[in-house]
Amino acid sequence: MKLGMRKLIILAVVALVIAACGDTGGGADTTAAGDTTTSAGGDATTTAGGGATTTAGGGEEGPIKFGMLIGVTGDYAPYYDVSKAGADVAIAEINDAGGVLGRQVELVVVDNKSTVEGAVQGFSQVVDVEGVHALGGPESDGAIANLQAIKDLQLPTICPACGTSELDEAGGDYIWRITGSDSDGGLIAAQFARDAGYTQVAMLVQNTEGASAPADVFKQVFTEIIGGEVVADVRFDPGQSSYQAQVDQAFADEPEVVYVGSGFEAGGVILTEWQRRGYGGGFLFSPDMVVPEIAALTEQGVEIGDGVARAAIAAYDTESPAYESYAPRYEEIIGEQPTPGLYDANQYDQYIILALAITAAGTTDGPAVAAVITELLNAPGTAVYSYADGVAALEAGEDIDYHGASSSLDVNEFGNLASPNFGEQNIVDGQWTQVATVELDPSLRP
Amino acid sequence: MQNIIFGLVTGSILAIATVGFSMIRQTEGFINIAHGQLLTLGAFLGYFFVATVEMNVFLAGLAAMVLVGLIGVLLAIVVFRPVAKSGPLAQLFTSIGLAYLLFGLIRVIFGANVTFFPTGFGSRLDLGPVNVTVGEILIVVVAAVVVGLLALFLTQTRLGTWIRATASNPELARLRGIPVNRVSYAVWFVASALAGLAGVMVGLIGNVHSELGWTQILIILAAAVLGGLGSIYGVLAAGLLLGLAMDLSALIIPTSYRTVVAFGVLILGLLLRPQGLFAAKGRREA
Repeated sequence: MKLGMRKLIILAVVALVIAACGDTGGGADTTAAGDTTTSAGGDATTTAGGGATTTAGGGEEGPIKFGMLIGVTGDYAPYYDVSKAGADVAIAEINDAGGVLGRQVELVVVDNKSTVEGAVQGFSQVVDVEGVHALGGPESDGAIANLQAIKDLQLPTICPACGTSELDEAGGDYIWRITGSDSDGGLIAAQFARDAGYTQVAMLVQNTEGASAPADVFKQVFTEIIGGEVVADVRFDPGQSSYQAQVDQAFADEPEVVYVGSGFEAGGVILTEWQRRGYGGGFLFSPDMVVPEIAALTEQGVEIGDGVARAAIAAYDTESPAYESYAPRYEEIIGEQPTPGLYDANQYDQYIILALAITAAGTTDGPAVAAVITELLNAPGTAVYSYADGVAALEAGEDIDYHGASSSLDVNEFGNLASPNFGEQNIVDGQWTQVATVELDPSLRP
Repeated sequence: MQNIIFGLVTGSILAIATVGFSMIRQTEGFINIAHGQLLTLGAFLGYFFVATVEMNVFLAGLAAMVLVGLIGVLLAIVVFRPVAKSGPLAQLFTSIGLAYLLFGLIRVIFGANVTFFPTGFGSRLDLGPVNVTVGEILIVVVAAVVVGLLALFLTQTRLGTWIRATASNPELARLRGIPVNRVSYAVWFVASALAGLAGVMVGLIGNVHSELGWTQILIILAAAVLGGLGSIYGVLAAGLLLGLAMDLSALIIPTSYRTVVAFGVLILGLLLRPQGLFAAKGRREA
């Protein structure tokens, strides 16, 4: 039987489209921890007193249970050990200070397997089976997937590493986010542009949600609030072999600086083409570009070091007494200093916050606990930097303002950090290096 | 004008990749989807020779070509020859399966990370309103030389004549005593080597990653169909035309529509010349 060439081509194209749809691809698997997805709930493990394995309890008697719904396996497994270490430091600190309301605290870890499906199943397990009193640990996709359930069940929840902009105005009642939003990446880049005195910028932005959302914020803030001009806004699809035309468009009007919102796969090509043609100027990078592969380009002659390319990623408040107390305990477990991009200090902070909230509320009742969380994170109140100090102040009848190891943790009405800390990153000697800490200027928020 | 330079570079690489693809289609009678993965393999091998073995980039490109060519012959013997009697549809789906197998193997061997050739691309030359780099000139020149040599090979050598005869009518060629197996292996070698060369070129102007083959094969298909599938010169012209169309389109529409432009040109081309740009009118494909 002979088949016409056109039928073969149609079959081939259909097969390719099906294959492409089913292929998750590997060039784009260089996302930040904040974008972790989750999967089916796995075995739950519980720890108390900073590491001893025990059987889960629950209810209004026995230990108070804090859930940790997190990717133990799957794409985000590499972040698990440091996350768990941060949480263990907090649980140990709480129990060493006498627990919460006279009860010991247990950490119930449920593996969401780094998928959305796992996050939903894991949430059911951690709530229905384990009966936790509060929840921490979820990543972006998992938090969004369970957002309505969290609100319906009135379960106080803190998101330590959710970057998704979908949480920008979704929290403040039962869910809080104690890391910067992806949108803040655009804000801080606009702040850099303002502080450097730039008036004309161009944009090279990858057509993916993770890159477009902060880029749109950058553009809005830079043009509407700062009063600058975007002379070219070039959007491109990832996965192309060349971006010559796009780079040429971006530099056609000789902008003072170019904002690059991209994964490093396309970003690397863009930078080599920029170097090749000698366009000059400087760059503001999105956080996804702050990876060793981009820094290593300087060793291949791409001259983006020494401040030519600037970026900002989340940074810990290393001068905070909370951080100074937390860091050595974390280092004792992991053997290294805390790393902002790994969110370990945020994992620590979330359980200190939940423990203080239950103490302040005097009950584990969800609505009562949730009602005090925003208050104890914001002024006015006695500044406290540890669980023990917070409990002492509360017992003395004082309002408290908890400052964490990750940041001051002041939040807005939507439960988002009002002024997250960022570290300005430059490439020095072929490596990304933090050259300064920067606090986001809240006046730039659209 | 600047976009014409970009289009020439893109088109030259696409033409090299598509000529090999079209040779397989013409002589073996099926669409080899795994051609894209051979391109990826060439990119990784070229990178390996430059970055790890520290070879000169020209020698690395040559070595990658030869190795990918030999691998193509091996695949023909081990994978495609046994299923040849089952017809072009079986070969097509075998090539899809093989593409996935090669994709997986490439990721296992070379990893899933994106890498960049650790080599410069020459300095920028300003030519009036446009600028061009030495590397870009070399890509276009190498592509032209390779195509010229291929044309000489096909028209001036006995093996080339056999290839054209086999492509035209395999049964008649066999009856006339042409060693079709030898011809087949020669075609596999040349076509795969061209894929390898295109991979090195793609890696040089962009980056090297395991997804390269998937992103390139659809454009290669478009160029092959537009060129007329059976015509070497047609696919050369189609490759250049698509490259120019994609890069020139950046002047009037967002660059994220480059692939859409390629297929738009394909559809328009087929509407105007259903047989392809250079194929003989009225010819029916098997």
